[in-house]
Amino acid sequence: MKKIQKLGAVALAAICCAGVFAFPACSKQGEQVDETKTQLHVGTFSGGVGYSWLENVEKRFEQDYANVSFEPGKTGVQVWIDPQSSYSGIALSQTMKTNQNAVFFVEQVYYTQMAKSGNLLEITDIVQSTDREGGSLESNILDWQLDELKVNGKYYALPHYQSFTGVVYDVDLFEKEALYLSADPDNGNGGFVWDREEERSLGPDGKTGVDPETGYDYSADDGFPATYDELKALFYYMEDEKDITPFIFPGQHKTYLARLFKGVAEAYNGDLGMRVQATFDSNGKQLDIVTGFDNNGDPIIEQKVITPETGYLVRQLAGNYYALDIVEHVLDNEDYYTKSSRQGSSSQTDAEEEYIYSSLEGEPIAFLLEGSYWESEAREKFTQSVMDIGAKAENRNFAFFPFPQGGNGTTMTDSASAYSFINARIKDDTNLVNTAKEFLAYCYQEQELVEFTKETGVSIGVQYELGDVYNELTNFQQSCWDSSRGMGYSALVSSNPTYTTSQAKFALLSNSNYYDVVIDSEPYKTMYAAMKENGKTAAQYFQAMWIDSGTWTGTYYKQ
Amino acid sequence: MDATIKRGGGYAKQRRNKLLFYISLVGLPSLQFVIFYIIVNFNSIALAFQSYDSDNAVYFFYGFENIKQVFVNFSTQSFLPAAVKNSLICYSFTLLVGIPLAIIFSYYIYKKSFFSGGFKVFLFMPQIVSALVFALIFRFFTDNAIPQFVEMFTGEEADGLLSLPETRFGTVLFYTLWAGFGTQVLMYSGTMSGISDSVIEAGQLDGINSFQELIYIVVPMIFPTITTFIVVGFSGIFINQMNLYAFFGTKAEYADYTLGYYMYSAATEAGPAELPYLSAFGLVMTLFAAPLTLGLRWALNKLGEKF
Repeated sequence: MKKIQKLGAVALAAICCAGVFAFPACSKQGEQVDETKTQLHVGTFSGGVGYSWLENVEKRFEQDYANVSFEPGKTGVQVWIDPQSSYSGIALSQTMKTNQNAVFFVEQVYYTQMAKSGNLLEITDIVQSTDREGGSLESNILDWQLDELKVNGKYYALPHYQSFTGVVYDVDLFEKEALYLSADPDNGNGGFVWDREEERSLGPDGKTGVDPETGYDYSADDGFPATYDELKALFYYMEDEKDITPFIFPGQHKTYLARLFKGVAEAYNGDLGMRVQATFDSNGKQLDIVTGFDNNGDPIIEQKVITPETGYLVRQLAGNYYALDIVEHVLDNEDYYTKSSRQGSSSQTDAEEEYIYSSLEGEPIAFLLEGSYWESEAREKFTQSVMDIGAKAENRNFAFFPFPQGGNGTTMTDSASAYSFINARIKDDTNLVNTAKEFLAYCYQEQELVEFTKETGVSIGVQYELGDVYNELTNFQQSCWDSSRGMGYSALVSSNPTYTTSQAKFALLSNSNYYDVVIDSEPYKTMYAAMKENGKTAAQYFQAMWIDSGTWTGTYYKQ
Repeated sequence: MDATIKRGGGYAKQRRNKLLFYISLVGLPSLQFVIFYIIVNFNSIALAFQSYDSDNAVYFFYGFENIKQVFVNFSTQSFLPAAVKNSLICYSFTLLVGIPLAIIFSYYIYKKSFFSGGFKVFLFMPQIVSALVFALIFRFFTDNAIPQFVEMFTGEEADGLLSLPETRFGTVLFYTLWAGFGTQVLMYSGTMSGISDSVIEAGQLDGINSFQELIYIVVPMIFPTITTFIVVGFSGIFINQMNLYAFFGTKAEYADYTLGYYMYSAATEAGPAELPYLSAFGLVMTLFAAPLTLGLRWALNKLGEKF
């Protein structure tokens, strides 16, 4: 017995010690440093889109530069990838100066602050280089992005991957159940089509057919709700008539309701109405602003121009109110979302799994609150579903749901704040600087951008063509690509000093303080807590988000 | 003569070696203390009197404005007084329920009563398993298993204990108590095992029962350990985040906030502009907690002298 106890103790001790000798996560476990080659260390955020794409870049780069010398006596480059979950947010900016990595691919960083604090090496030459096939990066980055990337007229980073969040819908389910509005609202079926053959309504964009000049297909959103009443009717129709649960979101992260909010707000506010929430300048154009509520509780809307001095009006954008109204409507009806959405133990991957299996197992769910990366995240679950269910589970078809529009067109806003840059720590090592710049430029070659999207299904915030690779993407990934490249994309970031100073307050991210409100002296952190748990209304929540002009001038406004 | 010199040289060498041994023993911890306590805290304290210029990315002297802002916020941000209340509830619960229970369980284990080994495993489990993993298991139990039990027995749908606002704080409080139980039991039972058998036997000869043995012999003998837990717990009132981060990340509801959680979660998400205010907040908490802690220690030491 004692012998067994001793053996057990030794085994436990060995397990504990194993961690000490375990290889750190890196791309070349067991490989020795080759002193004849230049050593380049590359840090990357290990979450998000992962880093297998970077390992592939590493192999191609090492091969392509095998005979290139970046420093005397050495030929070729040995790239070491360092994936860490800590390479994001504020944590990175605090440790950059002591980090060994020369190049970084990260997300959720305060770029402007990092650049101003001297953490990043200037890379204007890479951005403006005309040697690049397909033209300079500067000519392939959208104007608003260039404005955001410029710090004192210089570039210090490049846009990395894009992450669009919103409401995913099951296209196959919509087709099977014909969840579309009819062109004839009085067709005897509550305005919904009887079958797939019936003519559908014009949808949110109010148009149908293909534009002969641009080739844009306006019929893609035909049959989808064009008004909020129609949208609410669709939820009711799903639940009451079709026995479909409209929504699922992870109960562990009730902040995911922000994705529903964002989806509705983007469609109403349009590109300008979303961008202005970071720039505080509508460039002389008028936007729908809620100035109060009438006796019926309906919003009073006025058209106003937003300037940096009146930037507080961004908190009164009409699209934001309508978005809150939809969130309240969903939360008020417990049958509109799954039980797991209320359970704190349900993670985002649990929600993805439940959503994937729901229509396959006869308990369909229409909408998932997620991001453009969700299929990559749920890749194993899709594979498993095919093994469990068979051919029926193959080639699933999902897309972002088109919400009613407010007349300004719709948009998709990137919420990853993902960048790539070079660590300023290496600035005195000219050879390493040259190597790092060459590697970064290599990652942004047209072919490498395409490879990235092929590998991850996600786009990078630079203009490029996918060619045949487009056909290798899943239906959902194609839909994301089409939507973002067709309707345009933006990001809720800017170099505006008011924004950069109070980024945590104004960043429209699930994990920012954007949704923090105080209603009747009680503070709330999420829409779920205020509306579902404490019965507050969308109007109350919306008004609690407002900032008065005095507070704006005294606390937030920076010139 | 030679022998004397040799002795003198040997003595000096012995002293030198002892000094070297002493330096090598305390040198590294001292260096760690200087770097990770004095320098780090000095930086934090200095930050409390600074503000951040985002245009030039530099900190500048800001006087007592951050300190003032802390007091202003206590009167304008309603979650802060609520967080103070929650912090005090947490400490009171640990003090009035946790410590007595831990002493009783420790005594049970010390007396090697029935299934005491099993209790040991259950109570030490939270210390062995990773805090996040254990929180995950606990969450799964409260939000999946319990609603299923309720449904099974009542036929009605039920939400999880951590999902309902009415039960959330109480559930986390219970978890905090349970998760901290192991350390206390380990310390108390360890101290109890050091009590001389002759003292216990003398009591038994005098005819005391188990309860009297616990109250009149064991508790006074382990009182310094109890004092340590009370004082350490008190000093941590304002930094105890009550495992809220393990359950909710940075998105716990304001109603459940403790001051420790507020500082922890705010610092996690803070940019350089927010750090000075948080430093000032920590400093103000220290100004309140430090004298009270020292006062409590003095009072408990006085009480201990009576035993």
